[in-house]
Amino acid sequence: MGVCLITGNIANEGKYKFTWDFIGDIKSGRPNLGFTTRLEVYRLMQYTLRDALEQEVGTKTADRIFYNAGKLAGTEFYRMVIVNAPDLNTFIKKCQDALQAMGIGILRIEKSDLENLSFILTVSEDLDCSGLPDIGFVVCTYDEGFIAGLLEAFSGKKFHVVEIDCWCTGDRTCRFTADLIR
Amino acid sequence: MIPKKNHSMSGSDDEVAAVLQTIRDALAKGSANPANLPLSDQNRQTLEALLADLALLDSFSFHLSNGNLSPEFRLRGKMAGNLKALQANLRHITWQAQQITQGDFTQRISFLGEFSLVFNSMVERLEYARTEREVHEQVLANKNRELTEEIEERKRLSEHLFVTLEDLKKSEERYRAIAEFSDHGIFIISREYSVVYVNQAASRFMNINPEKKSVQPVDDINPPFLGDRLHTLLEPVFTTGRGLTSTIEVPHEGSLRWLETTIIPLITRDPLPTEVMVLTHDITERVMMEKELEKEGIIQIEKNMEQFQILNDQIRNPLQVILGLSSLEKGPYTDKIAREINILNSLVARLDEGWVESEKVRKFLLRHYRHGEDLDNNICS
Ligand SMILES: [Zn+2]
Repeated sequence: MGVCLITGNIANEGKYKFTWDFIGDIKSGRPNLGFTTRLEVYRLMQYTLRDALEQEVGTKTADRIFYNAGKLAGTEFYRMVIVNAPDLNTFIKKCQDALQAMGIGILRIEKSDLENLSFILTVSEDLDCSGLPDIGFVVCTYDEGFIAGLLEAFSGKKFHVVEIDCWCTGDRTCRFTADLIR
Repeated sequence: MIPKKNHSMSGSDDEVAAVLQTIRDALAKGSANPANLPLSDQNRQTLEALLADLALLDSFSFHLSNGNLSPEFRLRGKMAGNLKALQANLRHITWQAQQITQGDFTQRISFLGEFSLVFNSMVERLEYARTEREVHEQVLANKNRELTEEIEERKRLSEHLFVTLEDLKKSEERYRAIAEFSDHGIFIISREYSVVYVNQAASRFMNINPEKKSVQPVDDINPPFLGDRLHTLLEPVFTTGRGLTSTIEVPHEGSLRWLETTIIPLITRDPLPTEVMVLTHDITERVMMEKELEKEGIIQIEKNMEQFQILNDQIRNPLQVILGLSSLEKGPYTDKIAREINILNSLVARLDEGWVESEKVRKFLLRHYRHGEDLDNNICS
């Protein structure tokens, strides 16, 4: 899936305020190597960054920063990739297709309670954790934020997303609960 | 979880065999009792933890095998993870099936091997079947609506037709009554010169039993002369489409009858009449009366002319006497008297000329109305 570009000013409010300009014009920028890279590189950056953050600000804050980054990514992803979904099923279908096409993971819904806006969903072959050893705790904090951002952009309501199963807790798929914040 | 701790083997082969047998029992039967095994407390705890994990795996897989997808499974590890992944997939398929039930046919399964193919194919076929059914239902609904409309239309037409037929029947009754009780004889004659209808007046004249009116050729109409005359009059109407009026003179029961006859095209097709209506009115009395009046007029003229003749003679003779007497005794008025007498004479002469003209009129009338009959013999006193 190609990424649409928005030209605009980088570093308008703060040095690294996110805009899609940071994604850049990959087609012209990487005429030979293209859009993809090895997953190890992605994970290398993620886990070294988390390490560095943790050392600077502590585990809890580092996790919160990661959750917020994921949430911003989910919101932007909805805005640029999903764009519009008239109902929940269309939204889920579009997310499934996009996540699969971009190699992020295989999204599946286990439960949707539309009355209470409560969901259980799983992401298999997750970008962040699939194949990691059992280390006794869940690690997909960025995914939690990402899913919360997507749901919020879709529904206009705030969600609390928690990963309850993860490769890193010895499971084969990451399972998340998403509940409306009342 | 079995604690990852190294400790030296202190049991005999028999002890190990007993432990392994216990684990095999647990796998085979779902449960095993390690109570009687001669183990150290630490090894016993480890074995009991292992057997507890196996019991959880057994219980969870039992639930899954019965289609119960709801239990939360907190056991960790690869085997547990596989079962949880299976649970996650089954839950997702259940959710998808629910969405399909609610009409969302965009649901597809990926990365579940042959099952994905079969499931997706099934959804496509369901969608196709639903679309087909919807189209079919739509067609049926349309047909049903059309039929309902047609039934309504036919009902309306039928009611309208009934009313129209009733109206026509009433109208036909009225016209028939008018025709039947008319003083005029009415015939309806087809292009084949057949009489298809005669009213009572015509039946009487033709001496037909009104109950036995039936189609008959014009030429067979009684009296025969009427048929011939009608045939002659009908021909131009059928060939030109224009109606006409004529008086037919027919011998009837020993005397002459005059029928004023009007022929009007009744039904016209391509573009000439196929049926015409013949209206006959017996005007014999009127004709006779006119003839009587004409005769009386001539007689009156005759009388008047005779009176004229007498009057002329009676004036002219005294005038001659007056003229003779005035010339015998000449006086101052003799000439004037003579002039006045001449004036009177010329007036009488002009009256005589008028008599001659009247005589011409009389002869004309005689020639045209009495066929040369000498009126003198018929003068009524
Ligand atoms: Zn995870």
